[in-house]
Amino acid sequence: MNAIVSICHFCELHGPSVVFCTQAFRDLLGFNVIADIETSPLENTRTGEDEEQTKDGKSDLWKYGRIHQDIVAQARNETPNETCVACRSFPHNKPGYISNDDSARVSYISSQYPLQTELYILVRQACIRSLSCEVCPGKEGPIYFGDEARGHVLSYTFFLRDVQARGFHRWYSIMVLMKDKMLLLNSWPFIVKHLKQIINNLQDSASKIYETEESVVNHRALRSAAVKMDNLRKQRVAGQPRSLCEMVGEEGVWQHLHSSFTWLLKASGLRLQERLVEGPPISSFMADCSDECGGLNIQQSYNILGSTIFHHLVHHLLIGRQVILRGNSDVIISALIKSIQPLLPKHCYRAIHFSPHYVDCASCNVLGLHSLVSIPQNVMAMKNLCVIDLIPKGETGEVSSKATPRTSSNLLSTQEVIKGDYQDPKDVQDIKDSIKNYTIKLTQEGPLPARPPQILSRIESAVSNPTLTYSTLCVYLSTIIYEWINKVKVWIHVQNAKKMLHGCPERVPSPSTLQTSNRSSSIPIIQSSSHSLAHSPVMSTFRSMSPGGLGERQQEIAHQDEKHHLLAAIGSTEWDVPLLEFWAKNFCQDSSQEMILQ
Amino acid sequence: MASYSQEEEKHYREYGPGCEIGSFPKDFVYGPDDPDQDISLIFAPDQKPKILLMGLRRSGKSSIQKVVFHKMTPNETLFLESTNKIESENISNSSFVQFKILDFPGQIDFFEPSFDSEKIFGGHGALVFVIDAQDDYMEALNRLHQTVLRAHKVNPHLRFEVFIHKVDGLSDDTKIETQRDIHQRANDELVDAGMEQIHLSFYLTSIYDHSIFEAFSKVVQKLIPQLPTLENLLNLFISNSGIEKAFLFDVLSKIYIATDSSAVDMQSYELCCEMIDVVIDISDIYGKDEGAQVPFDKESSSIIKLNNATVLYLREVSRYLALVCILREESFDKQGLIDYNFLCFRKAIQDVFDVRKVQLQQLTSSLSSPILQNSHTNGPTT
Ligand SMILES: Nc1nc2c(ncn2[C@@H]2O[C@H](COP(=O)(O)OP(=O)(O)O)[C@@H](O)[C@H]2O)c(=O)[nH]1
Ligand SMILES: [Mg+2]
Repeated sequence: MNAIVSICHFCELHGPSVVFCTQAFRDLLGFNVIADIETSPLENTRTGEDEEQTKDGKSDLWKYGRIHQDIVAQARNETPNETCVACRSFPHNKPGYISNDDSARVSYISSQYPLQTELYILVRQACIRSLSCEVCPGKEGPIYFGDEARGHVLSYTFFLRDVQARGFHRWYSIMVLMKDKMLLLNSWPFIVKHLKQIINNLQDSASKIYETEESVVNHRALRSAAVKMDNLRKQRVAGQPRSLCEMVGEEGVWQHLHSSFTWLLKASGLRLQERLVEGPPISSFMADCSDECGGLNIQQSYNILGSTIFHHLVHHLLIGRQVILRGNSDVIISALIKSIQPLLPKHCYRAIHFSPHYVDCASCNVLGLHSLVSIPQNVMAMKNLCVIDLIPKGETGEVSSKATPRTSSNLLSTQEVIKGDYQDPKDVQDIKDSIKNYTIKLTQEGPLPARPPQILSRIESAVSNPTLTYSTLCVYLSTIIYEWINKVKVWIHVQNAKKMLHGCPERVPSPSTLQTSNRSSSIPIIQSSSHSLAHSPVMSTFRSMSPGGLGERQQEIAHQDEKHHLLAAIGSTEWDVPLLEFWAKNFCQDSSQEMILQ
Repeated sequence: MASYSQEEEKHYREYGPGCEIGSFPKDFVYGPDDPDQDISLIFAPDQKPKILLMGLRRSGKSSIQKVVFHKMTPNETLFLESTNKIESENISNSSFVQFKILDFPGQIDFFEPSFDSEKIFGGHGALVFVIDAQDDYMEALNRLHQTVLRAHKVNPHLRFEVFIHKVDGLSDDTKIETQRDIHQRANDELVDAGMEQIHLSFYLTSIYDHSIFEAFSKVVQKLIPQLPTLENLLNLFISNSGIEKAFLFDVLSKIYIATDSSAVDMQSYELCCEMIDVVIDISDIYGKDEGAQVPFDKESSSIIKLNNATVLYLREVSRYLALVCILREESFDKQGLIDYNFLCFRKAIQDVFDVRKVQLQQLTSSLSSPILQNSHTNGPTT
């Protein structure tokens, strides 16, 4: 994952300070560093405490994505020289620990400050915010803050108990800073869970030390007694800076943090990957709406149908219910049916403009019928359709009752009869005029989900906006559909991946999801190795912490969680699921599954 | 997805960074029938004057705030944690005592461009710089100089008050010497910087005695626009009643918001503070508990006769505002006269309140009408 994980501390002497941070460096493609990589086997990690040794060995240890020495030197000048034991982990800007991941060609480096000046400034600003601005008084826990310019930050604030601290505890925070907000927020549960583990360990150790020291002497009493002493001795009793190692009573604390942070960077990188989900070219899904099909356009239809009926009709349409328009003028009916074409992607719009008999929903989802055609009872009973009748004025209510007893066998004769009464309209004006002679009524409707898909309100506000020209509207509608087709692609991709995974339950970082391709230009593609994490030595210590196998119920919950994560990742909600499923179904029918590459 | 992230972004812009935390309005101390209440509500928090507590870490800023406004005992301050962000608190005990107090962490430079120094230092108010007199104060003087110059640049109307603090550990001679030295050095530096027009006031303070209350009183008094009127009233009152000294106290903080123009000596101020403590403690024990923050109401009054032929006389003026007088025993023979004069005095104080109230009402009505107009022009867009 392209992120910096850092520990910050509100130092008694220096205020908010960056104490330690871990970064990942990877070889960029075509970087000539590959040429001068040492082939000799190297130790995985190594301390940088010993300066001489590091200087000699550094170029060898740091294998991937090495940055230029000058940059490091420059960064050294920018960073503050004032530090004390409490806000120091390693000597200035020397990488402290390096771990190389050979298969992924990544080096994980821990140092006191980020090695690049620009990053130092970002981390330093975030550090001040995490400890001195974005805090609730006396509260621990994770928060998010940030923006495009200053980076997006997940900051987890916590206290460590310490007898020598002025308030008997000290403030720390662990921050994960990255440029990609969506990835950060989607990784939230994962990151927070593991940070919490790291923090709990630190807090437990610090509390143990606290109890031991407190059992020797009561520090409150000691401090009260010290009031009468001179200032220097007083200071010694309280408020002196103290290093993290001392507070948690563990010399290797930085090494542990290095392993933990490295694992976190690697595992969260593997967990969510950005992939280009490919499918048939988008254009094959877009309805072509350049011609004003059959006389009416969608805006006119909206006005004719009225907002309520339009709302119901489109809701049914979007989630794959069959919509039936009945009326005695085939021109009007088919014009209406044609006009709603831009609301659906091409593969979801299967219309029969005017049919002499009922056609089932498997073969069409928009159906025009003559007003005298009745819909078979068994279809009605399924309650998954929506019937809209155009009733000639003056006959309101009669048509439906008249129509019901008739069967399709005597249709021909009735059609002739009616032909005599009505002249079919010829152009738009005609249609508009003659539509005035009808009352439009929603006669049958299956139950709808409580909330329509998000897309519906966008369609409605666009269609009802009289300032948009038809061509603008078409562009806008196709943009919306384009956007959702991309989401559907991800949805299909993940569903397929899940199906495949069900066969093999042994999978280390769980689901792979993420990011529709329409934003890919602005988001760096996160690459990561395909090799199993189990090879990493760090991994073994962490795996024992998570429960071995999931029970049935847990699996169910995990399933729900996964679904919610996926929906959040594609910017969708629970009530978009019917739409996603409908669009996905036809997606697969139209374009063979092989075409959706992983 | 675009809409999703936009909404998120908007959310964070509105509620995330820059949002003030910890400014907890203390309006709840008022009962529903309180005449002062509407004033405190009318005062938008930003119009309130503010007092900025600055200085090096551990100089005693948080201790001062806790001792003066939270009745913390001086010994408890030993266990205060170091302040890690600007802690802001609204003080609105009475219509005269209305301000916001900001306690700064000494470790952070708030003039860095990442902070909004306009917002921090702007507005009407005072900057209190606390110097630890028990420590080497050269670094503190440096910081004082920088702070004063930069804050003055941002807000030329800001007042500067320097607390030479923790003087309880110093002998009387060192106190005087320290004050002289700090005064000299600070002003010399200002002259060197060509900023001699900036005025610094110095106070010797400690949380272990009443000096901190006295100093804070003076800081607060400068933020009260009616101070000359109040002083005048007090002068008239004492000269007509044979009283030696009178203080108008904010009971909650023991800050005196006005006194007559005769010189204040520490002892008489301390005496009056102690008297308030006694009255409050007694009513705490024997008064009926009505859930008020401080057992002090319209009936509160007290007379204490000392063995040196001095009388202390306390009367309630308005909620949380008390008049405490020091007078000779023989003057107290005419208590009727004093009580009559006191009623006149209280009436006059009420009148001062009322002027303020009317002003504020006018202010708010003139403020609120354009807002109304605005909403009208926004309304009929369709
Ligand atoms: N002797 C003495 N100690 C004080 C006084 N005021 C504060 N202190 C002590 O100074 C220390 C630091 O106080 P604190 O208010 O936290 O400092 P801050 O960092 O400026 O907020 C505490 O241990 C207080 O007990 C004082 O007037 N006299
Ligand atoms: Mg403090």
